[in-house]
Amino acid sequence: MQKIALLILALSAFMSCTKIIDVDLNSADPQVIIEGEVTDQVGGIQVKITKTVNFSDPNVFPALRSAVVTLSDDTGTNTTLTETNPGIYTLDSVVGVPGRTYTLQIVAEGRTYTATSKMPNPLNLQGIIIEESAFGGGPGGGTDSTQSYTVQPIFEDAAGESNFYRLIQSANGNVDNSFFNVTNDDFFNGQEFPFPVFNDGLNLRSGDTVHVAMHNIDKPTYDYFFSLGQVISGQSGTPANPVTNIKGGALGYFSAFSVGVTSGVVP
Amino acid sequence: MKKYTIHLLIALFIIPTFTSRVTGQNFTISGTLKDANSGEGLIGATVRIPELQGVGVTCNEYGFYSLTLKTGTYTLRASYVGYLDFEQQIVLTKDQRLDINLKDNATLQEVVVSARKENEKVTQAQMGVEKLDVAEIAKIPVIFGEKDILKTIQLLPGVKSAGEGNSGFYVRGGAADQNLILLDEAPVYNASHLLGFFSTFNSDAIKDVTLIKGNSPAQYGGRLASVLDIKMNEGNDKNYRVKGGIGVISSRLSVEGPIQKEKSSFLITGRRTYADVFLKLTDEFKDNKLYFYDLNGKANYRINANNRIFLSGYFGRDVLGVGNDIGIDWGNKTGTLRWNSLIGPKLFSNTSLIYSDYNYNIRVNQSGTEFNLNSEIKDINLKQEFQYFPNSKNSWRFGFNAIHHSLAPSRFKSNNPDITDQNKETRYALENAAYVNNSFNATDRLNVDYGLRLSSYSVLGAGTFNIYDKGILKNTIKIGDNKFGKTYWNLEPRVSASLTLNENSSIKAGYSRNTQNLHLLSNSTSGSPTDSWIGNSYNIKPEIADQVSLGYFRNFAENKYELSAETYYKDMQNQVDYKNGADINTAPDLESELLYGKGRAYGLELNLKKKTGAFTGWISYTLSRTERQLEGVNNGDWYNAKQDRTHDVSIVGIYQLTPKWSLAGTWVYYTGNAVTFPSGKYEVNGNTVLYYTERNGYRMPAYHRMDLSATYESQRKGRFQGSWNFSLYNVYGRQNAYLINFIDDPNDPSRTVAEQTSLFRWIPSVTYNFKF
Repeated sequence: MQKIALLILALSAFMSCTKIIDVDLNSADPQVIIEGEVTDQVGGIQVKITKTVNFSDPNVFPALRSAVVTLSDDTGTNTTLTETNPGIYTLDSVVGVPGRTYTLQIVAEGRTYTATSKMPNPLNLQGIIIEESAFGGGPGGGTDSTQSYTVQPIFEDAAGESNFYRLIQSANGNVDNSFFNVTNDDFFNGQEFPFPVFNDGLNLRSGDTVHVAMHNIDKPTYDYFFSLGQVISGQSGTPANPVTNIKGGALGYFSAFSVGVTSGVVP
Repeated sequence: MKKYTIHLLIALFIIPTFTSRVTGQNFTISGTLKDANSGEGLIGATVRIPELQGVGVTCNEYGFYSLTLKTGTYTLRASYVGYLDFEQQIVLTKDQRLDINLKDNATLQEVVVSARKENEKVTQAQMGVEKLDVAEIAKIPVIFGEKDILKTIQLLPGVKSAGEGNSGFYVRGGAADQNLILLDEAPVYNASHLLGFFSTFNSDAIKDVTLIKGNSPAQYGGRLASVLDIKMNEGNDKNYRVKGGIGVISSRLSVEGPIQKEKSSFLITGRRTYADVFLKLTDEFKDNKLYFYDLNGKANYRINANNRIFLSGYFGRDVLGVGNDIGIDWGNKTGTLRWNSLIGPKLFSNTSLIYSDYNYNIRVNQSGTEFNLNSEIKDINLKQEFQYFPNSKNSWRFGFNAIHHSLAPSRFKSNNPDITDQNKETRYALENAAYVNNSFNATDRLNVDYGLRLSSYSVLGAGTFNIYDKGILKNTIKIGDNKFGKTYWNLEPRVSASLTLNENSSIKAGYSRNTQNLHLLSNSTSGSPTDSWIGNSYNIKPEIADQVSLGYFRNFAENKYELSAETYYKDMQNQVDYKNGADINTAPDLESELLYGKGRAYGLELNLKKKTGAFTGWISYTLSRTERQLEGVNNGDWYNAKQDRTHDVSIVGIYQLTPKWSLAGTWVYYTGNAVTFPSGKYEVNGNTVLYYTERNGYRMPAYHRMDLSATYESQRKGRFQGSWNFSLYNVYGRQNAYLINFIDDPNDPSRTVAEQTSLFRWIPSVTYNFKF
């Protein structure tokens, strides 16, 4: 669909123009943003707490410091995270366990925020297929632009249940964590993952090594990233804040997920 | 309120029975009014008896009239805009048939653009009705020089454009899907080509256009806001005629003529754009496709003096493609088979069998794997209507309408066996309506038009239906093949009345209830071919609108000027919208992604029109408000609907400079749409994300634009007549905001900026039209 949008834009390019304008936007009270993750990897527990700023302000997002951040699970374990950097709270002594349900509690500036997330089972990532994309780099598949590649992770979806995945690709020190790369298994329940995936901003060339991390996420995390993708891409006529699983009035997400990693070389 | 309405209706149905009691022997004169050159029926032409004050009738949509009078000798006068009056003395001692051919006044048409009946708008009971003269709209400038009825109606009071260059329109606070667009009685589900820049209606095939803003008579139903009733030409039954046009974007050709002289005729009209021809010349886009075409066809056959059949059809398609990798195509098909029958001099019958279809197909080919996403809505529709003219004071319409709908939701498929195809069920439904409507000239000064429509919508099997409560699945119901599921019934009373104050002025009042059983779900700012239609279900209830309106109409200076002021208040129930963050393309059941709520709209519409002379045109101004209330949006408070625009002004002027040259100009101004803008920003995973506080809390900048055109009609050579139309869209190059995006500053990633995209500054065009 993006290519279609590009084609239409290109066609109307000779009759359209853009300019930077001033829009008188309201200011809003700073809101708390929580990005909480628990993974089955060492060092995979991190909670980042920041705040919103007004649109006209520089992209400097203030850290929320000195919060009391605790993580508990359904076995009764309860630990407190430490603020290792301003607004970043970590817990290196614990590694997440698939199948457990985690509860995050944050007490900051007189308010309490809570969220829960269940870590799905890890997936057995068997490798990746990297192929030239028929779409090329330009909107019309032009030859002078950089050739583009698709990456297809190989793994089998667990049958009989709904699963949700988030894919993160990296190469040459660039990371494609665009929010579009989340999917549910509606189209391949119990089967091999069938889709080649585009990458954004990696500028892959022959010989590059591509690293892929496949996150097995729960439904609330999927809903969050899916709706965030819509907000960011501007696809919605009536944009709104993404659907959060955090209670207490904060934006963001708390996700317990398992990770499968693999890598491959661009042919 | 309800009880009162029913009492009022009973009273109204009884009054005519008393007043129309027989007072002496009555006979009927009836017949058809036709154009003497083409044999086309003249819709809305009038037949009057000058010696009897206020006695006259208007021809119906097939040019038929019927007038019942006491025995006697009368003068019968038939008249129609741009035609010479016809007068004949009649001696009425028995029922009589009189078919009349009116000659068009060619000289008259070159000098002045005359109106229909001089004071029609003052005297008729109907309110909120706008008629478009197809010949007149050819002179009004439009983008790319492609004359377009949907663009022209946007210049009328109470009608708003859905956006820059867009053929979508909003009527009195209604959404774009709340307009019933009929082409020869067939509903057209997506009336736009090329993402809205063109409408599906080729003006060369169009004979008559009527827009009714909410107060529609009972024969129309199924949409809340308006009815746009478009009728195609029948085809000349005397001579072969060709007309066409060559423009910068597209060309048109139309051929009509008799099959058997004065017995049967045909019309075929085609149009195609050729932007893709230019694409082929560019290196970058040579493998791309972008075009649309449409075909209109019609044929009719007169079986005998009392029976006639018509067959008409439309087929249009848009095609968009990127190499062999992506293809998108969409379009409408409609077909109408009609049988007119004069059962007696006072009873006219029309039976129609109608087919409508809209579908789209998206195809993506990725390394040999083909993915398809497609959707279709298909109707089969049977309509029976009787028109009964018992006396000169009453005319009745009654009938029924049964529509079978099949709605296939957007389904994802592929040729890869590893990918599970989506098995969303096609939904079936039966929509029925029975109605009766009476136009009653109660006294010389009071005209009443009232009616009642009973409508039903039944969900049909086979299907599995989920019942949700706030998006959470509560229950599942299975219905067998062709078995009835839930049925919704609605009683829709309508009444409008005009009281003539004096020869030049009148006041009118109206109330109507309309319901809507099909709903268009759209998540984009300006309509898209992939917006999907969805019917009532266990969760989705019929939309209901109650509208009251009041108007004052006055003509000045011997009917040269026409002034109208109308106000309305509309209450809307069971409005449907997507919830925030809805998954619109791939959700297994779209109904889990919906929200329901209420709407209200009110406004004042002013229109001043100059109807005759070398200079004609109008100024219209609308002051209005449209609000929504949806559970879960803006804390359940009322908020401005997307189509809410406080002020809306249109000025249209046409000046006949010389018999050969005419000039036209339009200027429009409107308050920007209500939109959602961010009130802050934050960061997630290193990306800047916008923070929103409320839906539609902001406004786009005000929109204004001027367009000019000049038309030159060359000397007629024999039958050949050519004309050139030159137009300039957006004359002063205003950069109207089409989109405003909030992005990271391309020059300074540490900041964010608002970027406005504008389309179409100074678009010149030239079109050559010809006919012979």
